[in-house]
Amino acid sequence: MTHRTLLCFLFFLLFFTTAHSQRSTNGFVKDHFTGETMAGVSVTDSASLKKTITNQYGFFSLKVKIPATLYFSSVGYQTSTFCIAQASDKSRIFEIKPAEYQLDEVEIKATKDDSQNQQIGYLSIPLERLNTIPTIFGEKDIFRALALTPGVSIGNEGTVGLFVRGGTPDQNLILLDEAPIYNSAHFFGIISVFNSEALKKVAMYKGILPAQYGGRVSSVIDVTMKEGNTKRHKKDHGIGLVTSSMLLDGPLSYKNRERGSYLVSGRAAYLGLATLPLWFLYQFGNSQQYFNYLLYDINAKINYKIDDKSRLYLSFYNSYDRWDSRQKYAADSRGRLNINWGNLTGTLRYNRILKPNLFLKSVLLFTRYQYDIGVATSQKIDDTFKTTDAYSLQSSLADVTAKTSLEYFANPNYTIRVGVEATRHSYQPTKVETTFELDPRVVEASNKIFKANEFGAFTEHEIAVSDALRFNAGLRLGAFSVQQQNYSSFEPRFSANLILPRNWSIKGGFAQMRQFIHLLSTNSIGLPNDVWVPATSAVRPQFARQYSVGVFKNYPAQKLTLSVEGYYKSLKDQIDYRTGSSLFADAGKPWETLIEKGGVGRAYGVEFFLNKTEGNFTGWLAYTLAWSESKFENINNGQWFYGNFDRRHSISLTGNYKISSSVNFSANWVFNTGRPATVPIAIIKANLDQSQPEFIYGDRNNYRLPAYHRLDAGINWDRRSKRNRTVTWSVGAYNVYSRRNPYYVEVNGSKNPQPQGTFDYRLYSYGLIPIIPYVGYVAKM
Amino acid sequence: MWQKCERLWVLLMAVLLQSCQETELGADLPYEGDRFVLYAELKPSEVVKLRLSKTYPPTGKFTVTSGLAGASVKLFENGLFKTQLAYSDSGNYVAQSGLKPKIGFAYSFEVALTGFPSANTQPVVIPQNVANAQAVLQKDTIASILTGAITRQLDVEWKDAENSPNDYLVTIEGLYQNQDLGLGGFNIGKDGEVEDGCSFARNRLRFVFKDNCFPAQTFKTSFGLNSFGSLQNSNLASGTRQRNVDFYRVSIANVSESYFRFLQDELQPTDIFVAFQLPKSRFSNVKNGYGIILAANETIFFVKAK
Repeated sequence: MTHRTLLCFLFFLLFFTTAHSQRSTNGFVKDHFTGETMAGVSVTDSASLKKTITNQYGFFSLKVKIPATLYFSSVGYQTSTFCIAQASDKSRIFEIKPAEYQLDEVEIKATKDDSQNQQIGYLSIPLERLNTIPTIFGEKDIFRALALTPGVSIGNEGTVGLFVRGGTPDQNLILLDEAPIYNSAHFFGIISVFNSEALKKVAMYKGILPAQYGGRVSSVIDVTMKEGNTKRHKKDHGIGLVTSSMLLDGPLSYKNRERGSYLVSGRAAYLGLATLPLWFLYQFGNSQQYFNYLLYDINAKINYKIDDKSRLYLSFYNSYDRWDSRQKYAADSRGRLNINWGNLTGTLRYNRILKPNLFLKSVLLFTRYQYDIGVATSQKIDDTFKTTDAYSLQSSLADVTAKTSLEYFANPNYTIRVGVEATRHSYQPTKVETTFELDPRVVEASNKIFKANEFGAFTEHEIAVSDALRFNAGLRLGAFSVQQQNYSSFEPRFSANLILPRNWSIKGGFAQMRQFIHLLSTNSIGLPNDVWVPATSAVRPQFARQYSVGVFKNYPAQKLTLSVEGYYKSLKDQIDYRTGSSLFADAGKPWETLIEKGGVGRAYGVEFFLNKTEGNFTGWLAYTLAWSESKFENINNGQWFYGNFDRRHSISLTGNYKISSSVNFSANWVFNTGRPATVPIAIIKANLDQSQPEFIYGDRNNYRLPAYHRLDAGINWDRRSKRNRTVTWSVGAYNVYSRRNPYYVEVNGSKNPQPQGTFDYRLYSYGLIPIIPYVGYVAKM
Repeated sequence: MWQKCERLWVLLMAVLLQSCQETELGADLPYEGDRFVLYAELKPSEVVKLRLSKTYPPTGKFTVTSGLAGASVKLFENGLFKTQLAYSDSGNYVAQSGLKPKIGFAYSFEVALTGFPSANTQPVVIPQNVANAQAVLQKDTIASILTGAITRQLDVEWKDAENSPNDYLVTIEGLYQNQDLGLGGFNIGKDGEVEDGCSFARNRLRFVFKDNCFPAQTFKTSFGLNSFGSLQNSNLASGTRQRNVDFYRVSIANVSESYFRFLQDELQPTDIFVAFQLPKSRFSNVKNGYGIILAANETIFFVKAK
C-alpha cells in the first residue's frame, strides 16, 4: 500500500469521526401485513423535500423539523404518510401497505425515485415480477429472470451461470444474507439454488460496485432472505413438475410480536421417487442401467430483537445435489458413477443503532462449497459385489469471515459507510482418492490444501450536492496472503447521477476491482465440474477496471423508463485451461500445471433498456451490443480471441399482461448471437494404420455457433381457496416453438461413404432441450 | 476406467437432458489449404523411412490418397544434410543408401513439393538401448478384470538410463503362428486410460511410462494378458477367429519425448464431451505442416505362452 493510499484512507476515517451528529428521526420501514423490513423505500420530508432511502435492514435516518410529515413510497406499495409530533431518539416503526387497488397512485413517484437516483449499473426488479416470468419446468428462477436484462446472459441452453458484461460466472459475487454462494446451480445448472419463495430482495450491480463490496471483478448479486412474518404464522406450499416446496414463518412469540420472527423453507425434487422402479428393475430384474437424482435446499432464519436498538439475525442455508448412476457390464461386473455438490452457509448478524443516525452491522459467517465425482467398479466375489476399483475427484473450499461496518447518516445529503472484514479461506481444488497405485508424489501435489487470509477495509460516501447532482465515492483496500505471498489491492470506486429537466438524467461511474480467486472452467455452461482455485504464489489475482456512462429518460405518463448505458472493462491476470487440458481428463495432475496464466481481457458494449414498470401491461425490451475478448501468450499465438461468453447481439423481450385481477399472461422471447466454439481446420491421416482420420484443431474459438433464440409463455391464475388461501396455478411452456438451440457442434463422417475410399464429413449441431410444458401450483395463506 | 466413466457420463447426459437432436448445419468450415503431413518412426534397427501425405478440408467429401509422390525429402543428421530420400510407394520415402539412424544422433527432415508450403521437422535423438530388460510370463492364472478370460501375469522390468530424458513404451502383441491376435490385457495396479502424469495406456496394449517419475531406477511392472485372442486381418468368419496365443511379442522401447506427447493427445473429446472439454491440438514436431517424427530403440522378447 502506498503512503498516499494510506493518507487518503485515514482522511476518510477522520472525516467520518468528526462529521455531524445531530439528532434525527430514525426508524424501520416494514410491510404492514408481514412485518418484514423493507429495503430501498424512499422516505421524504414534506417540508424540506429532503429524501433518503432505507438500507438493507429497512432502517433510515432523516433530519427533520418537528412536527414533520414523512412520505414513504416503494414500488408495489401505497404511498403512506406519517406525522411525527415529538422528537425522540427511539427508533420508530413505520408500516406501509401493498398498493393493491391504489397501484397507479404509487407508481409514478416510485418509478421516478428508483431510476433517477439509483447508481449506474444497478438493477433491482421486484421478486413478484420476476416470479411471473415463465421458466423451464415452471421453476421460479431469479437467475433466469436476471438473464433477460441487458448486459446479462446465460452460458448455454438450460444453465444458470450468468455472464455479466462479458465477465465469467466466477466474477459475480453472489451473496445470500452476506454469505458468498460459490455454485448457484441445481440439477446440472438447469435451475438455480435459490428458492424464490424464501427471498425478500434481489439487487444486482453490473460492474460499478459500491466500495462495500469486494472480491469480484464483474458484478454483485445481493440476495436477501425473508425474515419471517411477525404478524402471524404462515404455511405456504408449492408443487411443480420437478420440485415441491414448503415455507413456514411466523412470530417467535404471539405475546410480543415485535420480539422477532422465524422462517424455514425447504425445496426438494421427487425424481428419486420417480426412479424407484428403476432401482428394483436394476437390482432384481433385467435392467442394465439405473440412475437416481436427489436435490434439495433449505433456508432458515431467525431474527430476534434484543432491545429497541439491537437485533440479532441468524441465517442458515444448505443446498445439495446428488446424481447416482449404475450400470451392469456383465453378470459379475458393475460400474457406478456419482456426482455430488452443495453449498452450506451460516450467517450471524448483529445490528445496533448506536445513535439515531449511526447504524452498526457486525457479521460472522461461514460458507462452504464442495463437489465430488466418483467412479467405481465392483466384481461379484462369493455372491456379493465388492468394490475392486474406485476413483474419486473432490474439490472444496470453505470461508470463515468476520466483518463490521458503520453507516452514518450525517444529514439528508450525506451518508457515510465504513467497514472492515477478515476472511480465512481454505481451498482444496483437487483431492484424488483411488484404489489405483498412483505415484504418492503426484497424489500429494494434486491434493494440496491452500490456506489464505484476506482482509478488506472500505469507506463509502453518498453525497447529494444538490437535488440534481449526487455521487457515491468510495475506496476499498484489500490484502491477500497465501503461500508466503502477499497481494494488496487499491480499489477506488466512483459513480455520479445528474438529473436534468424533463425527466432526463445522466449517470457515470468508474471502478477498480481485484479478485483473489479463479474458476477453472472447462466449459461455458457452469457445470459443477468447474473448480475454484485461489491466487497463489504462481497465479496472480484477477484485476479489472470498468468505466460506464449512461443516459436515462422517464416517461411518467406512459409509465416507461428508457436507458442507454455504455461500458468498457479491461481485465488482467486471467487464467484459462491449456488447450486440451482439463482436471477431469488430466486427473492427478496439479491444476497449476494445466493452465495458461497472465491473460488479459477487454469487454465493451452498449445496453438499451426500455422498461414499462406499471399498469396492466408490464415488461421490457432489452438489447445489448457487446464484445468480449481475451489474450494469452500461448493461446492463438498471443492474438486476441473472442471468449466463450462473447455475444455480439442479445435481445430479450419480456411482457406480462394482466387479463383480469386474477389472471395474467406472461411471455418472453430471447435472441443471442451464437457463442464461439473451437472446430477443426483440417483432417489428416498421417499413418496408414489409422482406422479413422484425425482432426486438426485451429485457433481457440475459431467458429461461432448458430444463433440462440426461444419463446417462453405462461398463464398464472390466482384464486381464493375454501380455506381462504391464495392459490396460484401456473401453466405454460419453455421453448414454445421447440427450437433445438445448439449445445455443441461436431464434425462427423458418413459411416458408409460412396464410393469406397472416400470420406464425407459434415458439420452437425446438437440441441438438447425441446419444448417443455409445465404446470405449477402454489398456495399461500 | 476412462472408457467406463465416459459411458456413464453419456448415460447421465442422455437421461438428464433427453436425447440430442442432430441437425446438419449445411455449412463448410474454413480450410487453411493443403499442407504436408509427415510420419516417421526412426529406429536404429530400421532403414530411415518417411510417409508423406496431405491435409484435407474439415468438411466435405474427399478421396483419401495413398500418399504424395514427387516430393523432395531431405534427411539431416545432427543438423547437417545427410541424404535425399527416394519415393518407393504409397507416399513412402526411403533412404536409398540403406541408412539406419545411429544411437545418440539427432535427425530431422525438410520436405518440398510444388503447391505446398515447404515443411521441416524439429530434430529427434535416437535413444539408447534399454538396459537390463526382462519379460517373464508367470505360470499360474490370475484374477482378471477381463470378463471370462484366462489371464496370466507378465512381469516386465528394465533399468532407466541415467541422464536420459527419454520415456518408455511397452507394446504387447499376441501371436498365433506368427499372425497377430487382437489381445485383451491390462497393466496390473492401474486401470484403463487414467493418466496419473507418470503413465497411461493406449489401445492395442501400448503402455507409456514417463522417465522422470522413476529416475535411474529399475522399472518393474506387471500386465495381465489374455491367453487367447481373435485373428486380425483374417478372412475367417467373425465367430471362428479365436485362437490361443503361441507367443507374446513384448517390445520394451526407449522412446523420444515426442512419443509420450503424441500418444497422450490421441484421445479427443467426442459426442457430448465436446461441450465440456476443449479439443486437444495433437502434438506435432513438424513446422509448417502436421504429423510427427518419432524415435525409438526397442528390445523385443518373444515369450512362449504356457
